[in-house]
Amino acid sequence: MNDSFDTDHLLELAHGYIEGRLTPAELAELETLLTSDTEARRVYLDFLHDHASLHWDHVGTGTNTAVIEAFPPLRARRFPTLWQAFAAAALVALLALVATRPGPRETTFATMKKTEAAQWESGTLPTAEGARLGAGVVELVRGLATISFDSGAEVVLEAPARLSLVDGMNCVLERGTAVAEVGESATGFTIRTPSARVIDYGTRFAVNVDATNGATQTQVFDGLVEVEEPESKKRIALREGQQALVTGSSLGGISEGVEEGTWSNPETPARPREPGIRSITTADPGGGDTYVWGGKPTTHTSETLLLLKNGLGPDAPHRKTYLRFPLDSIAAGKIVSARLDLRLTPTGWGLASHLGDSRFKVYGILDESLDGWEPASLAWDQAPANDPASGNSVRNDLVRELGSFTVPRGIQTGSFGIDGDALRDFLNADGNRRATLLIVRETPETRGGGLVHAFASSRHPTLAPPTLELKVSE
Amino acid sequence: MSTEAPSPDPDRTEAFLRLLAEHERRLALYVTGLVACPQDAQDVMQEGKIIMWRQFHQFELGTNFPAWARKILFYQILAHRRRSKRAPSEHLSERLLELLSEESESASREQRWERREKALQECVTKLSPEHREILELRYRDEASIEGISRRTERTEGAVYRLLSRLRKNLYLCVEKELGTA
Repeated sequence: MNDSFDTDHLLELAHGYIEGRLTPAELAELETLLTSDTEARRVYLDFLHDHASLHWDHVGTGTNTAVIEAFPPLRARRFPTLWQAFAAAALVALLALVATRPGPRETTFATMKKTEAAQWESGTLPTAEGARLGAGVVELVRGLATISFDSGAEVVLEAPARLSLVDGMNCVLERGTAVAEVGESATGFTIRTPSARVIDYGTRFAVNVDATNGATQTQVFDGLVEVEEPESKKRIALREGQQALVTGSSLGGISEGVEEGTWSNPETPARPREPGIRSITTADPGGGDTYVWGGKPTTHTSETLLLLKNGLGPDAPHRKTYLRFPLDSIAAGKIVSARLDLRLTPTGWGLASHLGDSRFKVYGILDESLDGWEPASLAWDQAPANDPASGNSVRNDLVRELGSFTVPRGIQTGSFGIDGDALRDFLNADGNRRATLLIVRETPETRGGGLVHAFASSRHPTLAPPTLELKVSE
Repeated sequence: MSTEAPSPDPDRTEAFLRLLAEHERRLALYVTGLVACPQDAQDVMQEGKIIMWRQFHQFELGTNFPAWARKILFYQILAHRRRSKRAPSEHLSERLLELLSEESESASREQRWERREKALQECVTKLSPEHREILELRYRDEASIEGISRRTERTEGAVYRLLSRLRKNLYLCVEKELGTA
């Protein structure tokens, strides 16, 4: 046959390539062999041609036509059928074109229903609320945007995300997170991603595309969704409370439980400091910061972030944040005004769509014997003034409320905090020069799997730590 | 909307449909030979036919339609790979694809594959019913290896190896029929 290569081995590699099951080393071997040898290319192409004719002409004459896949392919497959369908459709369309002048065509099929704190990157579609949308691309860098399709599907886009609208029943999520609510009229609504097709059957579900590797995570809150890996056309059905991950061309298993999915996680730059004010941070000697969690155990933990969550139900992974500021350098009663500053940063966990505007309360711990907590080992049960049995409440007899602030829905970055007399008075009255503050998210999520908020801790690599900015009298 | 709206000339339309009807099968085989995965090939063909129609006004009647169409399809193959966002390390390189495309062109010029296809039909009839069923599941029903393994109660590894053996045996049978082995 030939002397320069082993035909049997080449065919083995070609078979593996057809099936998409070559290891990177085998693929490299095939690449080298084919690049360097004309005869190898000839053998390979003959072999592939056999494969191609078996596919397009089918094997033998039809005997049994058993459907063995759980979900048969949607598309017409057989060659003549495909061709006839195309020809017929083309003829009809063309005859129509010939018969009538092409009039103005309905090219929009969706509406930009609502935008919240939205900031857009260059796309090809209008982004104003109420704008009619046709085929094109929107890119959201900040906030939330709700796009309502005429078909009855509604998609909430969570920044950062890039969505390409195809028609009333199809869109392509190139990266980021989209939560879809699909009415009965839009059954079959499909969100394509670089690695999967997510087909809806009347439901509410979320899809996330990892910007780095195109992996697709799908989570179903109500109803039924099918996730298809386009390479193998393999599909799985996801029901309420289930999720699945498609990475590369592999369709992962189904996992149970609505939880905070791991979504995207971009960083935000530090906010510039104001001059002329004494700053004390939790990173200063004697300071500290941490968060505690109760409810269901979670792997969503962070060394660098202070997490906050008010979950749905007592078992949800609630999280509360503790801050300790050393006040040694400031004499009691000398503080004229005080402000607490926190840098909000995305955690990548949970869905912003499952939460409204979020109110955070800041408490001061009154019992100074509780100021000695260890950031590294503070537990839910031992946390000062925490009420461990009841989710998000605090022991009102041990704290004083110092203020609250609101993070609007869809916002995951920026500077937040409180100021005012209550904070100033609390700090001025502190006896042991160690002030412990407790931060709780008052607003519970509206559905499970909602967003986990986070502020940068003193261990955050880029963002400023929690800071008290104090104006002190001489 | 579209700036490349096709001319609604009915003669031109008919010419396109005729040419496509005549060459579509060969073009599909060409695409499948390059992309290997039949489902990808179907997608490329579907997109490709639309592009061909849109650009048909640039085609000069009487010149080589398959060559013109292959050029369009080759770019559709590259576009499809880029869209698929699978790591480039999971594909043969674009440079190699060009070499394969050239080889495929010369095979069509030599009409090397017409005889091959006849021989292949012969060889398929020589398979045992059991083996033919495996091929039918794979090609006619487009079952995945996993699907075949469920259906035939074999392990996936066994199906993978069996398919490999069947393909190789068919290849060798065809070579023998053609007298080139």
